[in-house]
Formats: sequence, structure tokens, C-alpha cells
Amino acid sequence: MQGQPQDDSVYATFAAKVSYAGLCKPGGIPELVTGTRTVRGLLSAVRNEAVIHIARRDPENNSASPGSVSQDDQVVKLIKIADDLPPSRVSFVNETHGVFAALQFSIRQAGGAWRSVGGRRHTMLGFDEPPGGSGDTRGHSHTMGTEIKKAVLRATVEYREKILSKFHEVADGSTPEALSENVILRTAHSAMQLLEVVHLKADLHVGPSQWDHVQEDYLSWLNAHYAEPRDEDFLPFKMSANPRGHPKYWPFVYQTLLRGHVLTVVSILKIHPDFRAQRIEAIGSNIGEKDVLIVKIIKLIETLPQPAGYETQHLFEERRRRWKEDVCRLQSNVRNYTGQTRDLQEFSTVLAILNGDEKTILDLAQDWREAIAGLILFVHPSLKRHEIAELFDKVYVDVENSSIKELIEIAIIEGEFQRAIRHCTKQDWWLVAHFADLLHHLGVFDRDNVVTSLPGMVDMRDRPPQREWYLLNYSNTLLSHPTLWRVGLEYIASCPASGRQVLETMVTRIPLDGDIKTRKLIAFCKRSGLEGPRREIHRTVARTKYRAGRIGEALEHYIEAKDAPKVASLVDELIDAYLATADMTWSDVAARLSPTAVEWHVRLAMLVRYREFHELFTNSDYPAAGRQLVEIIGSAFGSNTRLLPKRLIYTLLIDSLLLLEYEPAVVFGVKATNELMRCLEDITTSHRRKEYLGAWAAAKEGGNISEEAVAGAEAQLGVIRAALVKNLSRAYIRNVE
Amino acid sequence: MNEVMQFSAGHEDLIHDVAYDFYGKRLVTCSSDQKLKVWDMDEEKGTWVPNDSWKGHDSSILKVTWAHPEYGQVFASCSFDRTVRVWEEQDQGSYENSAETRAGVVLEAKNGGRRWAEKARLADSKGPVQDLEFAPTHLGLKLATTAADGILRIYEAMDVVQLGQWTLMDEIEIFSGGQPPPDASTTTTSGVVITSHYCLSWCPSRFQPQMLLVGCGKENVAKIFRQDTHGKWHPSEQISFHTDLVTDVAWAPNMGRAYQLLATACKDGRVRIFKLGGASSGATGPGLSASSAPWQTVGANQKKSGPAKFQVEMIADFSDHGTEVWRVDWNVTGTILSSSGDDGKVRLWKSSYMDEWRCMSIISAEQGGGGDHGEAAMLR
Repeated sequence: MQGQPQDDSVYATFAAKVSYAGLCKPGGIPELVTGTRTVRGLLSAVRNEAVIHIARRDPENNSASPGSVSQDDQVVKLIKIADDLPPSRVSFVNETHGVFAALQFSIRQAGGAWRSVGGRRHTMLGFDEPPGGSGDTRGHSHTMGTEIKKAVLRATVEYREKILSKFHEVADGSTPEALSENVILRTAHSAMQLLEVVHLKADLHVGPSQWDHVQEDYLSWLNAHYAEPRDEDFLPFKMSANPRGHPKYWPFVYQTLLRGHVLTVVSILKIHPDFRAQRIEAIGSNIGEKDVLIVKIIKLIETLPQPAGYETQHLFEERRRRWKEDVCRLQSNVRNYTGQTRDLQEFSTVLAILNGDEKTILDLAQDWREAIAGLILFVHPSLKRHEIAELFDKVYVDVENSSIKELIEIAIIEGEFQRAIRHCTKQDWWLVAHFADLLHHLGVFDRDNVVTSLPGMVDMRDRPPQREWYLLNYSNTLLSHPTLWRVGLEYIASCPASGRQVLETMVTRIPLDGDIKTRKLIAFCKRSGLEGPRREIHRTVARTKYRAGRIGEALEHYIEAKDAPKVASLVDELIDAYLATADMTWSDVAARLSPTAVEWHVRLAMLVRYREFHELFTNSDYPAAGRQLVEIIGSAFGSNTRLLPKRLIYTLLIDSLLLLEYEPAVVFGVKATNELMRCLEDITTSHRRKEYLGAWAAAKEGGNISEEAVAGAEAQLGVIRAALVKNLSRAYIRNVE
Repeated sequence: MNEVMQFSAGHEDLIHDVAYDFYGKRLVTCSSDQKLKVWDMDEEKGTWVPNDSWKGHDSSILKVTWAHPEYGQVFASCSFDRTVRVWEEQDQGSYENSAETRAGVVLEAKNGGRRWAEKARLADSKGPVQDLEFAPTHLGLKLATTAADGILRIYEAMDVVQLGQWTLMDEIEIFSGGQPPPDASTTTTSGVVITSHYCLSWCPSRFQPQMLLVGCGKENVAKIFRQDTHGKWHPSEQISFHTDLVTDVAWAPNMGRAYQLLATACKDGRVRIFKLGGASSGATGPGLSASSAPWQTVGANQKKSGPAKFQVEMIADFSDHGTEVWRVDWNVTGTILSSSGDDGKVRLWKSSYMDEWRCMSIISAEQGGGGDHGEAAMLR
């Protein structure tokens, strides 16, 4: 798994990781930095790397560097500051993100803000805190809590499935990476399962019995993660002619019994000589088995009541009471069997275990996990899940020599979730982030839990929730990955308090490598409501397109970015290209404009209207084309929004010429002709006449308008003016309005 | 060793500065040889290839900084020649040809100095321009510079497409008493002559007024300059914990935090991190002093006379470098700080959830003596 997070001041022995850039020989730094050289570094934006290089030390000294500058001075090194995600992790990251996303959805479904105002703070784990106990009076409804618990339970089960699947992939690996992955996967699985066993399943009544008990789930966890004694340990004395003489025989019996391996312990006892002898005797003499100690013990073990078999706690405890009476009876009469067996003391020990003798159980247990299993099985068989932590008072836990995995387990059982997370930070960001997420949803792990009144300590109310802190750290490990960056963004997006700002920053830092990736990023921004970054990406793409001379595409992106000044500027460029070279790019752009864009910007509306005019003209719908043209030209004089810049009136008047000369119909009526004449006179009598008449020349000549160009335009307008007069008379005669 | 790759910058003198572009896929290097070199990352080959190299200034080039890509492929450089120059990459096409590299050593840049066009030359400074940085993009295309004449200058591009016209929006005296004294030079313990050195960093937050953190040369302080509601810049908080020249300043990106983080590098061998908390009625801590700016009255009437001050608290003071620290630099999320010093090491600092800042990683300039040491630490 990737790297190892560190987030705990308790690890006082922590030492910073040291990497060597190799810019100078070992011990050569004092020599290197003498005089003008020093070493500089800077961090990459998204990639897990830093640049390190030799640099000029005294920026205020302008003289050339004294002495020769060697090739070594020019070496720029890029150093990894954190491990990249191994390729083998990609599928696991994707799959577990699916589980994560489903959980977030379920939580939202369960009521979104799962806290509601209440008098008591319910920790979701069955512990109620009195008001004021944590300085927080918020709580949540029991129903919602149950729904959330169920959702979290579903998630942990699915996470464990993914972990197991991944575990099978790496189980055979012998590389350091595979071994490291193996340890982390085991830890993650154990932590998730223990969370289920001790906390999540309480009150959910998962399984056939409708009452809360921890026995079976705890044993299931124990044997899944600490599967000892192993089956192969059974072989040496199974094959032995004198199994009871084997030094491991009785320890094996005790261990399997303490772990609730009923079938195994029974099968081991059945290879004991006492059992074999009574079998032979029974076959020979037809004597029943009732008077043989081992037979009675085996029967007791076989009939040990299991909570799952009883619908109610009362029924279970009643059956258990009767069973225990049988155990007591046999234990009190065990001396009667002195002559029957050479292992009376060992059988007595077994009976002591069955009778729930705590000292015997604690003495025989190999570790705290086994001791707790024995205590649950034989001393507190009805133990509730949340009561399991109380057993820690009775067992010895060698914290000093415990692995991180064990420390996490202890913390989970004790309900010390802050501690659990701190230990998780020693392992892996995936584990920390997902475990913190689960705990957060359970309501046991937010900033209020770590608020301190100690002077000098940080007020956590200033900080984002812990869940987000860890999720953001995890997401950072994904962003530099070529395919997992989207998953990284999704994790950031799931952090409502602080994620948005991070997301806004990071989403724009994803390199825009190609149109597809850009579209994906834009879609992500839209989906996540990241309007600012979406516009920023559009502006960046627009700039790239513009630089590549693809003005139409640039314009489209600026439209998406709602960058009105740039849109106006690019429309002007398109129009200038049209004026200068009759480039019709503007028409293609106009054809692709959305109604929203047209409504948003008058220049775009102008492009569309002008394109419509061209289409009508091409389709020989001259009356409609004429109406359109008059409307567009007239819009240059609108009081509010001027669709058409006045410098284009001249060009549109030129367009009108063909319509004015159209025979036999009269395209422009009296009113329209008057309007065109008014527009013509407006630009020719304006103090900006040169600008209006020479716009096409300016576009062609880079802004310069010659007198010849203006004179040429005047001549053209003269022709139009005459055509307008002629058209007006025709319109009057034919009474065209 | 976690080396990813290396390349030879191939300058004819020592490198002054290296800067990543916005995406971390381009680098520009500058040197006392007066040249600028741009490098592109070839992701397929996993190498950095030369893009172009050209003489950018008439004297040593001190710093380089990239603009946001929405303004194009643009960076600015500042030099001992008292100018700031803005460069933009030109269209591809005629410049395309093969890069000549051999065994990672650059022989010649492929575009022969023609790919990057000088779009603007800003020559307002009366002394070497020592630092420069483009403003965060939400403020538009602005460029702040500090120069040895003790002036903080803020420019704004009038035409962000053509980039040719830059207006000097503000000139702010950094030195408390006006211009720095002409003899404002000193000799360090190692014999290096240092005149007044000024450095700057923009506040990247879009939820704050425009602010700049400026390292104030021989005053041994860093100051925050703020723009008021009338668009005028004024000195605000002063951070005075330093006992020698402030060599670099860096304002951390604010990612969901209720406060701002600043870092300073100092010739006294220390890296310091400061927290700017909620606005208060005055500065706190022994190293802080109120601004003497006339527009701002500290005290009961403060709310009426100007924006409230930040509470500045020094939350970390690291002496690990043990000798002059020259550079501090935040990652984009403001969660990791890098510092570079004369101990030949780049140190990476990261905070825990409980805001405990610790050195998580050290990159030594030396050759390794047997791989990485210390516990592996996840940094990002």
C-alpha cells in the first residue's frame, strides 16, 4: 500500500525520512555551500515530487560566479517525496471508492444531516452521554441512527470483501511491497470486522437470534485473524500411538476449548486413550458410556449452548443454567473417577474452564484475545457487545510489545476511536480515510470529541472535521495518478466543510491533456456545482484554442466561461476576419450557438441574426431576408442593447444592395426603405464617419484607414443611396409597406 | 533514493531560480548567465526535454514566476538589470524540430530562442528587481514585484490577450522610513555581501481582501500589505520575530481553514510558520507590532477607521537547518512546506490534524550512503 501516514505526537521516536539527491559527494555540503552556492528545492503542484538543485546563494551579487561553473552545478534532480500508488492498487482503489460512494449516498438517504436537536448525545454505539458531558447537546433520532448503522455495516462488510479479494491477489507475493500490502490488508480487515462485532451489530440483531450478544461474532473475528491453534498442530498427536503423552496435547485441548472450537476439541478428546478404551470396552461388554469421565466431558462440550440457537436471552440463559448445573455436578464428583483415568487433573482443568473459572481461563489463555474469548464463552456467555471492553480489566495486555494491528484492535474494543485512528495513521492513508469516514458517520469522531481546554492546544472548532482531514490526505495520493485523479476528486467532493475549497483548487490543477479529459473535468465540475473552476477551465482551454488560431472553439469556451469581454473581443475578431477576407468562420460559430448563449450576449445574438439573414438570402426568401436585415441594422440604434456595432452598418447596407435591385418584387417597403436611408445618413454624417465607413479597411490593414478606403466606401454608399431612392419610389407606387 | 529523474540545465553560470508552471509539467530556469530556459515534461519517456533557451536580460536573472494558464503560456522574469520581462510562448509550427539530447545532457534547445516572445518590459525599478509573483487568478492578471529600491510595485495587464500593456497600479514603500539607506548592506558570517533584500508572496485566498506578505530587507521583519476598500495599499500587520534578514516569504493556500498560514525563511537559520487568526483589535505576541499606518487606528475605534487586524501567532519556529535558510515554498494545498538552507538540505514540513508541524522528510544534496533512513512518512 502506498506510503505510511504519520499523524500522532505519541510517536515521539518518529524520524524524518532522508533522501539523497546526489548533488555532491557525502560530506561535501560544507564545501558546496562555501561562497556562492547553496541548495534549493521546490514542490511540484500535483505530482509527489520536489525539484532540488544547486543555486546561486547571493542573489544580490551581480558579478559572475567566481571560479569555474561545472556540469555538476547544472544538475536538476527531481526527487519523489512520497511513493506513487502501485499499479496493483488501482482496482482496489476504484472498487472501494464504489463502496465509499454508496455509503455516502445511503447516509444522505438516511436523513442527510444525521444530527437533530436533542437532549442527549447518542454516540450511535449504544452509549448515551448526558447533556453537557461533551459540551454538546446534539443528538439524533434512534430510527435514523439505526439506518445509518445499517448503512455503515453494509459498507464494512463490502470493504472486507474487497480487502479479502485483494488479499488473495497479494497473498503469494514475496516482494517487500506485497508483504507490506499483506500486513495492511490484514489490519484493515481486522479493524473493520472488529468494528462490526463490537459496535455496529448492537441493536441491529443481525442473524437468527433477536437479542444482542457478542460471543459468536467475537470468536469469528478471533479465529479469522488469529487462527491458532492451526490444524496442522493437530497432526502430530493425532498420528501418535500415545497422544495424551504428547507435550502439546493438553495445551491444544485448552486452547481450542477457550476459542470455542467445539468440534476440534471433541475430536481431540476422542483420540484420548480413555475414550478409545471405553469404546472398546463398550463394544465388548455392551456397557453404556455414562460412567466414563471423558465421555461425560465430551457430552458437556458438545451440548454447550450457543446463543444463536435461542430466540431470546431468557431461553438461552435458562438452558445455559441447566448446562452449567451439569458441569458443576460433574466437577464436584470428579474425584470419583480417580481410578478411571491418569489425567484427572487435566480433566479437572477442562471442567474448570467449562465452569467458568476465571483464574484457570486467564492462566491458560495464550494472549488477551484468547482470554477474552474464554471469558465470554464460559464466564459471561450473554455478554453484550458494548460490554466487551469491561473484560480488559481482567486480562493482561502487553501494550509495549503489541503490533500496530493489535493496538488498533484494542482501541476499537475499548471504544477509543481517536486512539484507533492515531494507530491507523501508522499504516496507510486508505485505512485511515475509510475508517475515519465510518467513525464519523457513526457520530463518534468529529471535532467536538477532541476539543480541549488545555492552554496552548489547538481549538479543533477552527479545523475541518477529522474525517475530511484524512479523506483529503488520501485524495492527495490519488490526484497525481493518471487514471485515479477522478476518484481523488470524488473523495474531495465528499468533504462538505473543507472539501469545496480544496476541490476548487485541485480540479483546476489537473492537466488538461486532451479534449476528452477536459470534457470529463468540466462534467465533474458541473456535477459538483464548481462553477468557478468550470469557468476557469473553460477560460484556460479557450486561451489554448485561441493561441492555436481556433477562434471559433475559443469563443465557445469563453461563452461557457461567461466571459463577456472576451466573447465581445473574439466576435469582433471573427467579424474583422469577415470584413477583411470574407472569412465565414463566424457563420459556423453562429450555427453552433445555444439559445442560452444567444440570449446572454448581444454580439452572439447579432451573429445568429446575421447568419439567418444569409440563410434566407441563400434560400431566395428575399422578403424575409429584407425584414431581417432592416431589423439588424435598426438594432444598432437601440436604446438599451445595441445588437449591431455601427461600424458594421456599412457592410449590411452593401448586403441590402442585391435586395434593392431585386426584380420584379419590391423587397423593402416604404418604412423599411426610410429606415435604411436613415441608417445610411447616420453613419455618413457622424463624427466617426471614417471609422464607420473604413471598418473593412481597418480589419484588412491592421487598424489603418486610408482616405482612399473611405472614398471607396462613399462611392459604394452613393450607389446604395440611389438604389434606396429608386426602391422608395417603387414602394410608393406599389404601395408596399 | 527516491530520485525520479534528473537533467542538466546547461547554463553557463549558476542557476538562480527554478519555477514549476501551474500544472507542474513545465519548468523554467534562470541563471547568472542572463539566460532563461524552459523545460517540458515528456510523460511518455519520463524525462524533461528542453523547450527553448535564450538570453532574457542584460544581467543576472534572479527569479521567475508563471502566470495562470488562462492567460496563456506566460511567465515573468526579474533581473539585476532592474527590469521585469513578461514572456509568452508563440505558436508551434515553424519552431518544431527535434531536441538534441544525449544521455540526459542538453546540447541545444530546439527552438533557438524564438519560441518565447518578450511581450512586455517593465523598467520602473531603480534597483535590481529581486522578487516577483503573479497574483492569484481571481484578481486578474496582476504582477507584484519587489526591488532593491525598497518599492513594492503592482502591475496589471491592460490587455490580457496581447499582454503588451502593463499599468503600474501601485508603488508602495516597503521600508518603514521611506527609501532604504544607501549603505543598507551587510556582510554575513560567511562573508557574503547582502544589500537589502525584499521578497513577496500574494495571499491566495479569494475570500480575503487583496494582501501581500513582504519580507522587508534589513528591517528583519515581514509585513502584510493590504488593499483597502478604496483600492489603496497600506502596511498592516508586522511580523517581527526574526533576528536577521527575512530571505523568503510564502503565503499558504487556504484550504478550508478558518485561518491563514504564512511561512518565512530567515538568515538567522530558522523557518517560521505563522497563523493569522480571526480579526482582532490588535496584534498579539511579543514579535508583533501594530502598523503605524495613519489610515488605521489600533484600538477601540479600529472598526471605524479600517479593517480589523489579524491575530498573528507564531505556531512553529524550526532551527533544524542551523544555518541560513533561503527559500520557503508551500504545496498547492498548503499542507506541506518546503524549506531550503545552507545546510544543503531541503526539508519538508507537514502538520498533523492537531496542528503540530514536524519535519517529515529531508532531501539532502549529498550522495546517499545506503538508501533512505528514518521511518517512511506519507506526505501528501
